[in-house]
Amino acid sequence: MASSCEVEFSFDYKSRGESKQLKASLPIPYEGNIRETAARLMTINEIPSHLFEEELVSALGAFISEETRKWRDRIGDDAILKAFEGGTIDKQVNEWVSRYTHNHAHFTTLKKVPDDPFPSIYLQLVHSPALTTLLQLEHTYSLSMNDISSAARNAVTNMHKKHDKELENMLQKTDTDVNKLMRQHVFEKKELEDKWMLEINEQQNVQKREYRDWLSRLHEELYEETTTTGGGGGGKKQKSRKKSALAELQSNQQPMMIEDVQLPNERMEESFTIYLGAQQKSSHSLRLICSNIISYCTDSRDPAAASADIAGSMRLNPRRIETAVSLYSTELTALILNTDREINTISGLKEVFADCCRLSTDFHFPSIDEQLLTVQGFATEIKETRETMKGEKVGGDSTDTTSPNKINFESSLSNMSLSPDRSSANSSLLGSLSNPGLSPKSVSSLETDEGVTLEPGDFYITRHSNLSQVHVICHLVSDDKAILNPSLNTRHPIMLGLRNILRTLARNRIHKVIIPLLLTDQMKPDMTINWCLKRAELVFKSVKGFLLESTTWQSDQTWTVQFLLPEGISDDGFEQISDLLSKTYRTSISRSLSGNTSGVRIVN
Amino acid sequence: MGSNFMLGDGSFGAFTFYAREHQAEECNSHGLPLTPNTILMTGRFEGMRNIQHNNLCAYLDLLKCNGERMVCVSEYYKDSLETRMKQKYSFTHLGAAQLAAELTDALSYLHERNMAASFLCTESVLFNKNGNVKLFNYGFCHITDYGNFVDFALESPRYISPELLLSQSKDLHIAMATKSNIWSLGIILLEVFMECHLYPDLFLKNGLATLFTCLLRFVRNSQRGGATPLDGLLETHGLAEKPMDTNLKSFLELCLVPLPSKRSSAHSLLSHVYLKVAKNKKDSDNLPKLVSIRNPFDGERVTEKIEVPSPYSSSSMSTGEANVILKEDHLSSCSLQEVYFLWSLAGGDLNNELSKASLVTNRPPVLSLPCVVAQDIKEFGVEEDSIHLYDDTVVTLPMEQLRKRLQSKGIEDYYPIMPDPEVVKNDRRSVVNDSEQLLQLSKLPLQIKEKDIDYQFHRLILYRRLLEAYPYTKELIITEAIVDVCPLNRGPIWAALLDVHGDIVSRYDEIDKESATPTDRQIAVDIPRCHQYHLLLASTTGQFKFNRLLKAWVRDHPHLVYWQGLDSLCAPFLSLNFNDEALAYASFCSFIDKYLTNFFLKDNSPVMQEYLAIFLQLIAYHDPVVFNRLDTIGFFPDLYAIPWFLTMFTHVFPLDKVYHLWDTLLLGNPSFPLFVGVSILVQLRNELLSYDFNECIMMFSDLPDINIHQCVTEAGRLYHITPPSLYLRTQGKPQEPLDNFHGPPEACKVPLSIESLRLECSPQLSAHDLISLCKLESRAIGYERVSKTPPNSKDPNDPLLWRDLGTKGRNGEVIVIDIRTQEEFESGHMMSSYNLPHYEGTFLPNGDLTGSPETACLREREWDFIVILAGKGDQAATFARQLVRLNFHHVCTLNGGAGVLRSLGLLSSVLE
Repeated sequence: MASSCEVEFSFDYKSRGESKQLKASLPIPYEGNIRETAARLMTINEIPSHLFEEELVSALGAFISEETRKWRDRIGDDAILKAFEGGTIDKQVNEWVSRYTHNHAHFTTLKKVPDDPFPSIYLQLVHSPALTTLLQLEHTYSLSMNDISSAARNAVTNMHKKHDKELENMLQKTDTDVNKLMRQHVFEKKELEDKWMLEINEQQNVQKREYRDWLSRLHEELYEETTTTGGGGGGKKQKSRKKSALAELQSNQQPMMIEDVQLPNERMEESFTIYLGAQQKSSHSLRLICSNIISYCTDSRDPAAASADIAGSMRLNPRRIETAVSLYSTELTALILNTDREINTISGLKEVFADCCRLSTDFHFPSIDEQLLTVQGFATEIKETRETMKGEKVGGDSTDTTSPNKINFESSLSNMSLSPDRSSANSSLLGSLSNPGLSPKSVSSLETDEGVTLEPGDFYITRHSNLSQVHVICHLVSDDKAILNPSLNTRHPIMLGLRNILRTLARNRIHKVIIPLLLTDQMKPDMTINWCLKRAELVFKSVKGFLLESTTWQSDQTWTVQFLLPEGISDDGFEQISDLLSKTYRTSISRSLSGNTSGVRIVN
Repeated sequence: MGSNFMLGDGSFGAFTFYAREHQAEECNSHGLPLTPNTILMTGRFEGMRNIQHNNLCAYLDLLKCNGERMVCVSEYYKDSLETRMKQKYSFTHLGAAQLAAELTDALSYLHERNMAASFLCTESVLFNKNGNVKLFNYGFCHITDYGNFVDFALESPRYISPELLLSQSKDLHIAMATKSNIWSLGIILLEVFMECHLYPDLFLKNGLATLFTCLLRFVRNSQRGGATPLDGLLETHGLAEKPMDTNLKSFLELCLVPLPSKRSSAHSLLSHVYLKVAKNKKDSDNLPKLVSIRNPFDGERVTEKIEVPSPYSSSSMSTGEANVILKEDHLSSCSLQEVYFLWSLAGGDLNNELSKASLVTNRPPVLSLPCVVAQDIKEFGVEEDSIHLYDDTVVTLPMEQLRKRLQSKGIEDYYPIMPDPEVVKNDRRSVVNDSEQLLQLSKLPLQIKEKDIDYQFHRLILYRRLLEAYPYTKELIITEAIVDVCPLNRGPIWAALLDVHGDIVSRYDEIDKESATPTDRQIAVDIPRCHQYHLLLASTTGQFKFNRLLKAWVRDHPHLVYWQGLDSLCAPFLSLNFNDEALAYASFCSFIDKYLTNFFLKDNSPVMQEYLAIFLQLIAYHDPVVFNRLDTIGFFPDLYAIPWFLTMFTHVFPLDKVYHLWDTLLLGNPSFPLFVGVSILVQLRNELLSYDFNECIMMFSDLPDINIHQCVTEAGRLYHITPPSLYLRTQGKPQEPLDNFHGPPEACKVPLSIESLRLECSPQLSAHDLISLCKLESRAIGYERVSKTPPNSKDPNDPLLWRDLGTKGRNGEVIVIDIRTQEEFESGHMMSSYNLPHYEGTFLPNGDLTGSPETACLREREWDFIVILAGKGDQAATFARQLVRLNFHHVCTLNGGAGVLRSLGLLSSVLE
């Protein structure tokens, strides 16, 4: 402690006629037990305990209380005198004012965030018999979305065909002509895409509005009915209206069947129950699965094929029901997706994923493109903050070393307070989206041109209500080189990012997570068995470390972690990684303890 | 133990707040993640339970909730100085002086204990029905380490002292807090005089800044020789002319001095003339209302004489207008801690109460997630919510449910009549037998009993009364502990069972716990790894106490050494007696002394080896199948059981299971733990029979979930059916001669050397045990003097034997097999014994029994109690080994063989 000090205590006594003095150095503030200290001093100085004990205790007590008083008075007086001398009064006053306004509910300018009524409306309905109707409605909407999407795809395909033909005809012409034509093609294509994108957006907005309206109406009717049943009066009227609200839907709906769960045949999968902790054990369930990461987002592996699938049947996937019911609960499932440093949906996994999201309307959250725009806004802010931090570091070298930290803290504070404004700025930007030519895609690509990027280890979160098995996607920023590097270690930013994700999920009471075990979604030629084992071990250990740490003080928390292996890993590779998991988590015991083996393996 | 104060007319108040969160990846010097502030506060909070003053509300609980949120529960009263001021209540001169006196007294009490009050303001000054001050929410300086663990300020802005306002560093708060309290006291009393608040516009824009600037202006003026802050304040509020009592003025001037060094201390203010008037009134009216008169374990230190008002005599309390203890409301005479415990059992739910007052919102996770998280900076996109800010709104916890559950309890339930200890000692009849309802409840599983409010109500009142009269009631406590232990009083009950008495506080004080010792390093490494899921043990306060206890033990036992595991062994005692280190220490020492004699010698192999050898014999005796399996794969006790016994299972079980295990273990004799070990193996039987060596090692290195109730019951059953001589040890504490041993010395067992113990797989039975098993006392030589002891009499010194296990005491019949030659057998043998001569074809070459009528009879009765009788040599052991190999249960050999029986006159010839 900065303010503590040491004082010298002395005590005079007589031993065998000789005058002696006992000395001891004591810390102020003193936090011990005076009797104990006295006993110890007597032992050290070999004073027979029956002599002087009471005297020593009282002398020691008086000494300590006097020294403590002096110490307190000195520090208290100093504070006042120095402040008046130094003229720091205004600063002090402002600090105290901000302390109260930032931390005390009575003095804050912050208001309790008003809750959007929609989630609770949804929550009530989804746990009522209205659930199936609700899902039917969603399904119908997704069918009509699907029509538009396939129309869009057809239009684009047709244009491609047309362009190809035109190009073929141009082959004899000069390069400039070809170039000119190609430029025109690009322009035409973009225009067509934008047109459709706009249409899709429009349609989604309409759907979303209708959906929310309908839900509110239904809820109102159900709610009012329950409140008025006792009163008699308007009860009947409400009931008839309710019928109309439901009937409105059911009239153009055919009854739906719940689809039988059929696991894809080629899926390799193994489950484990593990117990962690020395005495108090926490149990978690782990799964090792070899599957396409996108299969968690859509029931079909190929978004394009999915449309045909949805259109062809009136079946409802039970997983989808579960996902819908758990949306506002604490039973959320999060999926970690690797992404590169740019926030867009132009290529690769990002594109496939975004296409999944666009398949149907998200009735609860902004569309993927809108969410990414918000992310982009924060990313810009983060980049600026980082640049100032770097600047501070370089500039602040010669001066006080503590100052950069302080400024960083303040600047991040100002960022925090600014953020609501920024997000509203973003939403107004979204409003302007309805202008032709400013489709989300083009906006994000526009911004990436400015080179706004996140750093490896950062991550952003998107929320979705229309994916098949997951609600929350954590996009972990990484870079391909580092990922492929066999010597990636626990201190690498990507691994820190992974831990950060888990921590953020835990703090938000999300305890189900799907992790790409090799930190990549597909097998590449460089990835030998040894490489895979090494990477798997790294991730297993990292997750185990996190689980141990997070359950140290909360052992009743159960996690469900799915480790995902890319398709294309050999059976042998899967086997070895499964053994590694057993070894890392020492599961051989728990597996057979439950009587029947909980290690279920589905390998075909 | 918690607050000893009576509930009186108090109620419980709860409020919630958030701890400051650590940054991700922050580590301590050991490289371990930082302990969350919530846990550190949980540890420091325990110290508040020791605060017992008539003018301070007792702290009852601090609960860690989701994330960084905590809920604090304290004694609470609706009537506060703030509400009185709002209602324009005007204090009489005497009333104001009494308020001042009681507040000063409370502050002086806190300051003496090196604590300062937090949130000293009109909202915190509460009154009970008698109008006595009950200061509320004063503990946060201590709990939060002077604001280190939270973001909010610990003062109400109106009452903040100038030095705090001007302090450059938050670290200095600790030095300023006590004198700051005096300033706050001055402002409160000034407001009482003014009958309004200073700066009523505090909540307007710039209100705070105006307040602070004004205050500092007065301070500066007075520093420059201008008017005192008191005069300045009065003048600004236009009250300079209001007549003020000179004594009050002098008192306020002593409080409102800008420089702390010139400001009075609470202690010196106590003798101020202004408080004199109130003092006289106080003494008669403000008696502490304690539930228990004394702490049974405070030894000679019980010097403080406190007069306790009896609920029956109204003489001491009739002065108050409202009698605190209502005529028929006995619940109000229970201690706050007891009532809170019962409130929780009656289904009280803190979070639910707080949600109702919308102090807690449960935002769905999907809506609370951040948008972007940058590693080195922060989270972005989280909506800021004022719900995380400090809100001092207090929710009064409803008592209706509790009162409804207890409405049938009459005066005899609150003040039960105690049985006579001398009578109880002989029949061990618990008071639960007096009521059919309690008797039924007492037979429920422990986990259910511990949650049953009816049952716990009776148990806690009973145990409170028994503990007050300890050690006189020691036998009564043992008798009740045979039924079960009340979780609220487990610490002191265990101490009573362990026979802790005397001046344990002084003894503990005298031990040096600070000087460095060679084991310090090891202790420092072990503590942060010991039962860290337990919030108190994980807190800094807990680890500090842990370190002191272990160092004290090392220092106090120079002939013993610190073996790793001592930390685990200490954990139950520390966690149960967190606020009473001396009691924890005394129980800890007494436990080791009784159950682990010599286990902590530098060379503990003799005692350990003997223990393990007997353990192995008991496995063979009770479960030969498991024994044979483990023998085949070479999985011996020294590979797994050493930490079991060295730590008495505290290393392998979580504390809540250890509590339940030890509730029983403490009743048994020092060999009882052997049966707990056997019982664990029995529970893991299926796994043991199918696992190979490596799997067994794996399983025992991290013991799977054990059903502790089943484990304890089985251990008790095995203990019951095992004759004591089978587990006779020589290396532990010398066993006291049994009170009911009346036989001749030759009937006693001659102890075996460790080597012989390890060679023989079956234990040896003493002749005495054989005699009592076969009820041959009347025939044996040396037993003539004995008046016939009633059959199946239980040893009063072995309380565990009185536990009702719901099964027959000893199962099976005794079969004595005489393996001497036929001639020897015929020349003299024990009645109804079988002769199966060892070398005459009893066993086939493959080890199986041959088909003689005797072996057929033996095979039919493989679950009975088989005693093997031999002449001399190790024939008996070999024979026994062969029977065990054939999975015969309960095989033992007779210590001393036929010779002993002959000398006791129990061999008779066939010819006779």
